[in-house]
This record gives sequence, C-alpha cells and structure tokens, in this order.
Amino acid sequence: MRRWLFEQSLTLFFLAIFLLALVGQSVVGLLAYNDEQRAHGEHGLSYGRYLVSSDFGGNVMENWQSEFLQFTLIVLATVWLVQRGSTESKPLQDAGPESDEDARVGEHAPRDAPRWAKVKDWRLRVYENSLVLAMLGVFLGSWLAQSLTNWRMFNDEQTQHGEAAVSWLTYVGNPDFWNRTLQNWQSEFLAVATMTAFAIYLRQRGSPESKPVGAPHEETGSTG
Amino acid sequence: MTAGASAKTGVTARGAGNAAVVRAVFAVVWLIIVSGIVLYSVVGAANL
Repeated sequence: MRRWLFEQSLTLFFLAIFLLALVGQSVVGLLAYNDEQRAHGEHGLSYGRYLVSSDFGGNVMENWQSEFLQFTLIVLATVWLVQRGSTESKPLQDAGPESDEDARVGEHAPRDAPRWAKVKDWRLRVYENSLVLAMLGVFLGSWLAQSLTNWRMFNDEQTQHGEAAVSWLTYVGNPDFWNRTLQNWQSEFLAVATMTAFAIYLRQRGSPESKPVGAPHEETGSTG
Repeated sequence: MTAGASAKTGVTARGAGNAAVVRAVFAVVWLIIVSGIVLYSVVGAANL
C-alpha cells in the first residue's frame, strides 16, 4: 500500500464503509418507501428524487445527530468523570481540566505547537475546546435537520389522515419527534457505558481502544 | 548542495506532502458532514 494511503487508512476505511452503508440504506429505503406508497395507491419516487426526500434525509439525520451527541458527551464527560480500570478514562488523579503545563499551551507550548495553542487570549479558549465545539455543532445541525425532515413526514401523515398540519415549533414538542430522538440516544449511551465497562476486563491485542493484554484490571487510562 | 541538505530537503518535501493529504482528509470529512446537514435542512424546510 502506498505510504500516504496507509497513513490515512483508518479514516478512509470508515469513510468507505460509511458510503457503502449509505448507498445500501438509500436503495432499500427507496424500495420500502415505494412499497408503502403503492399500498396507499400512490406513485413511487425515482432514486434521485428519493435521495432528496424528507423520508431518506430524516432517517439519515436521526442517526447522525445521536452519534455526534455521543462523541460530544464522551469528550466532555471524560474531562471530569472517570472509570477505574477503563481505557476510556483518564487516570483517576488526572480528573478535571489539565494545567497549562500538561496541556502544553501558552508559555509551555512547544515550538511546533498549533499557533492558537501558543497564545493566551480568546483564540486559545476556542482552540482548547474545538473538538467539543465541532461535535456539538454537528450534533445541533443534524438534530435541526432531523426535526425539519421529520416534521415534513409527520405533516404528510396528518394530511393523509385528514388532520391539520402542525408548525415546526409544535412538532418539536410532539412525542413523534422525541420518540425518534430518544430511541437513537438510548442506544448510543448504552454503547458508551458498555465500552467503558468492558474495557476494564476485556482486551483486544494491538488496539489503542484496549489496554495491553497483560495489564492489570485496575490499570486506568492506558492504551495497548 | 550537500548530501545532508538534500536528504533534509527531501524529508521536508515529503512531510509537506503528507501534511497536505492529512488536511485533505480532514476537509473531506467536514465537507460530507456539512453538505448532509445543509442538504437535509433545506429538504425539510422546503417541504420536499
């Protein structure tokens, strides 16, 4: 494998299977959508039209928002919260924000540090929180997109059943929106709790998500 | 140019090339996410 490809292989692998899964979802989603349309005596959609439909968009955004909420929370929660023995946790004594020296910022920044890590003004405040800010932004953006697409689908059903369409604001207080939201959140939170707890006793040799196979169960915050 | 300087320049050029690839990967991920969010916000808002 060419060197540059090897060096990006983790991101590229996940981007590739993301695209494959997304294409698969769009194909079977269209089949299911058109089946239902025909059962109601209506015309189905073309593949291109389905890609820019609220049905497909809502299904995609629902899952995106929960994933990015998960990452926002795990990045933020692990600043203060710990789990003895887990690779997902910092060593217990390191709980809380790091000192400038540990964070290597300001006068403690090495020569090759990112530019905004070397200054001590608002740019440092932004940069030292940039991962959470990015994840939070993507979570809020995709949650908004989910609410808009689900709202459209909800109003479609309302109309089909001879009921009045509702405003977006009314919809985001509706159980339909929260049912779609919370069913995604609960699975993410369970997955994080499981990974945190499993990493105490279980191992995967060679993975940075695991501690070294021979590391004691009590060892916290080490990676393999 | 000395052999040492040449080797050093080669490493720097390769380093810069690798950094550009890393930046490109970072940009592609952002592009996918932002396009998805903008596209489906518009789709929903425009009642498509």
